[in-house]
Amino acid sequence: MIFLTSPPSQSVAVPSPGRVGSPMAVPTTSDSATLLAERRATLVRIYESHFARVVRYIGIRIGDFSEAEDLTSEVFIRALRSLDSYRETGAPMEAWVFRIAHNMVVDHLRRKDRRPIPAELDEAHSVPSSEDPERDAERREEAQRLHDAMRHLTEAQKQVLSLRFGGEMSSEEVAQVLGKKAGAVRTMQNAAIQKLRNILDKQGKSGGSR
Amino acid sequence: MAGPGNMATEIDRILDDCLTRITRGESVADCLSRYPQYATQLGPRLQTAVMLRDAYAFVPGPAAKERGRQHLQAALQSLDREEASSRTRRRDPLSFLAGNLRWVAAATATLVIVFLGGGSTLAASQSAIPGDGLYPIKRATEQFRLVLPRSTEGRASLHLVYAERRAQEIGELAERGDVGRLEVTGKELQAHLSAAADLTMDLAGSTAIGELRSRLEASAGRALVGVQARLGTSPASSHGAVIAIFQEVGTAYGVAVERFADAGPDGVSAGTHGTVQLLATYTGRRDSVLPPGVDNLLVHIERIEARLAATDGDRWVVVAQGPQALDVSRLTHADQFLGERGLEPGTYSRIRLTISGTTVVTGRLSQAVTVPTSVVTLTRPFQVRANALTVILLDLDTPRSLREPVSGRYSLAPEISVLSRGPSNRAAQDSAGDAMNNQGPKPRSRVQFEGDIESVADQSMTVLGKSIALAPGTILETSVQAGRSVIVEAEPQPDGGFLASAITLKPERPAADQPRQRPSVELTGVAEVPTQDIWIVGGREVRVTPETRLEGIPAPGARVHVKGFIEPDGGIVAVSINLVGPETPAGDGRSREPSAAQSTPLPATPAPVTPSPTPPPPPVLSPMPSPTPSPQPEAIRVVGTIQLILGLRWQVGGRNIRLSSQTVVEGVPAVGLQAEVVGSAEPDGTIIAASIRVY
Repeated sequence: MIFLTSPPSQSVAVPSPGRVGSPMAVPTTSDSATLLAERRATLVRIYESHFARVVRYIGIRIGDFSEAEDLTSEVFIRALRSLDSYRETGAPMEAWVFRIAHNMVVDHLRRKDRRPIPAELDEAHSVPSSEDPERDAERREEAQRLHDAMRHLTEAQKQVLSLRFGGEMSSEEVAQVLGKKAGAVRTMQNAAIQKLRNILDKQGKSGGSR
Repeated sequence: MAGPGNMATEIDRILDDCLTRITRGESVADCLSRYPQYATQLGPRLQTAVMLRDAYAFVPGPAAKERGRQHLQAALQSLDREEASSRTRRRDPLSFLAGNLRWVAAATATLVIVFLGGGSTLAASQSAIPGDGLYPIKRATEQFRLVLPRSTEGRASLHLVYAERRAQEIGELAERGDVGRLEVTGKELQAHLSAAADLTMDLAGSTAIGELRSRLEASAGRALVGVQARLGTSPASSHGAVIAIFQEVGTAYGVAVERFADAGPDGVSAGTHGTVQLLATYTGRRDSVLPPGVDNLLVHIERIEARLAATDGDRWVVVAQGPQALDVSRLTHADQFLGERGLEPGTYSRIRLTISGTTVVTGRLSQAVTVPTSVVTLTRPFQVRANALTVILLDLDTPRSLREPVSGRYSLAPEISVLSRGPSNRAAQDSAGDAMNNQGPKPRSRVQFEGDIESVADQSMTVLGKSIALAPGTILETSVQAGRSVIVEAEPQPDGGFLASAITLKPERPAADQPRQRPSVELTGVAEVPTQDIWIVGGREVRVTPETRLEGIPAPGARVHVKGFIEPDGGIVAVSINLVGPETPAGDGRSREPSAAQSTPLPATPAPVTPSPTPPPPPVLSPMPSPTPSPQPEAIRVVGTIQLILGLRWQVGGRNIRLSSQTVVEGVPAVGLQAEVVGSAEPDGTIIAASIRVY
């Protein structure tokens, strides 16, 4: 079937350079410089406040907290160099930084040609030590079993848990990082924890209550 | 009692609140004290959450943070230096001169000599060649002009001019037999061409590239002709050196031409082609893009061509080649990229689509759609200009295109509007071309690509032949690897490129039906459910799979209508089972097996959405012991897979379950999970659940 609609009566202006979409004034050089400076300052603040969280998030995903420290530094360098591609989407810049961290994890694991299975925890750092060595050993064993159980989660579930517990993010913040709705994130984390629970129960180990 | 769906949401919310508290250090007991009614469900999960919290309580050492801080600060300082240097070059050429004392001295000398000698000195210097007394003035003047504030294009042009001057000087030197200065001048010519090519990288994608390239090619021609001409008049003793320098000059110009070409739009020879980008769009009402009951429409496009009106005869040229599926359901929020090609500039009169097939998806079923013709031709002229981008949008009017099913099959009579935007080259605009081309809607902020990743570079990947830039903020739901089938959401860029905002794995789609291989069948009768997988309907064994669509709540003993297909072994696999009415005293076992000519082809294998990794156990039916005979409904216990949740009506292990306000639900119910139901059976077989425990 051949069909043609008559064109609309008014032509549409060619998109102005610099921005596709609704026309807007091209920012002046000084506006751009100020904005860039502000974003850099924000990124530095995020580094100071979120360094540990990003390390934990990456460490959980790749199974190596020592390497995660170096990768975290790379995350912020990459973010700094890409500030000109940062877009205000309503989500805080922290979400953008974690997205970069996620992409770096993906790249890292791909380069390492490993499945995203957490390796054994670094005994020196994984579990805060107490004054009870026996209890510390129990907790390390618990942590290792938990890591093994994490293998059975989907990639999205691991992401959610890593961001919740490693990144110390709320479900709303996790949703902003993953580009999902908060309700979906809550459902995913519930299912993920339940699944972990089932696996651990089958292994005959239940978490200790506090 | 809230419905199961609401309860699940409530538990999600409560768990989320508890997780937040636990990550902040609260204990499980504290959380449970806030929600005592959910203690049974929450307790185990919160204990697991505590394990997660403790396991991931890693604290980076201060040294690691300090190292990262230093790296970040070093990067900041490096960026500051680069930007300061850039600003200095733009705004304060004299400070640049401060770093080039030789040329400062020469420029100063030039100014002094010119002042003393007047303008004639400057003019005379222009014809000087290396070795002449005024040559330094000539070079000083050139350098002075280069450092004056000017555009990137301006500086590139100057370098091309000076490169041609060096070529002229080479000719003069060759004629004089001044071999010593030939090599130095040759290297300076190469330096100018290299500088011009470096500057074109900053102009990549712009129309200035084409003009500069034209200038370069013309300059190369003049330079090489001039040097070659002097070869004949050069002393024989310098022939070898002159020939060598001639070859070096030729090579230098050739390299420069290639670098200029690389900076053109998408590597197409700048100045000779324009770019046509094809997008599918939908400009109608979102809620009417697909008719009720239809979840998706996939139009499989084999090829898209455009007809060029050429003086030597009109011809069809391919714009997009290769099978790809137009996913109509996604068009409501993003245009879909169909292809892009560099085309000869000119007027194109028509667009032709070759459609290899069309599929409509309803629920989990897909079936082929009747399409009267596989070739759709659209008469819509548009212009293509050199170094310019023209965007062609194909707007599929699905409400008018997709017709109601006849004999169970939809038909598609494509009604497509062709809209366009462009060209993007302001310098090349003309009123006629504008009127022809600029009749498209405002560009959307999202374009979708669906295809295989063809190649991956450092910061980009290629899908459907189009390079898509990757940014650190791109959401990756799958790793970027060549060969992976992906859906990419991208933002169009001013230069016609795209920046990926999200990359996801392409979902598997159900294959279109294969007619005639599996005859369809319909039958109506009383349903008996000995197992959840096998029903007996009208005396015929019917296999029920996870993909079987149950409409209404067909209860065992009720009258149902089954649609399905016949397996090679003669068994019937149910595609859908509909409740027709209550049980009739005698099942009529009526069935209809249309002849092969009338059967409606159905998918051979309905696509599994959530395939079970292991076969679920058959439902366990065990009547609860009753101490005294009583007319009360029989107590019953069912253990099986949750197959359906419709508000208060569930299906577990093939049994219909109804919840009441007294039903106690333990666990988070979801289709696919195992559950144990204890309740009482109604005469129609429905179980009124007293308790449900979800595993």
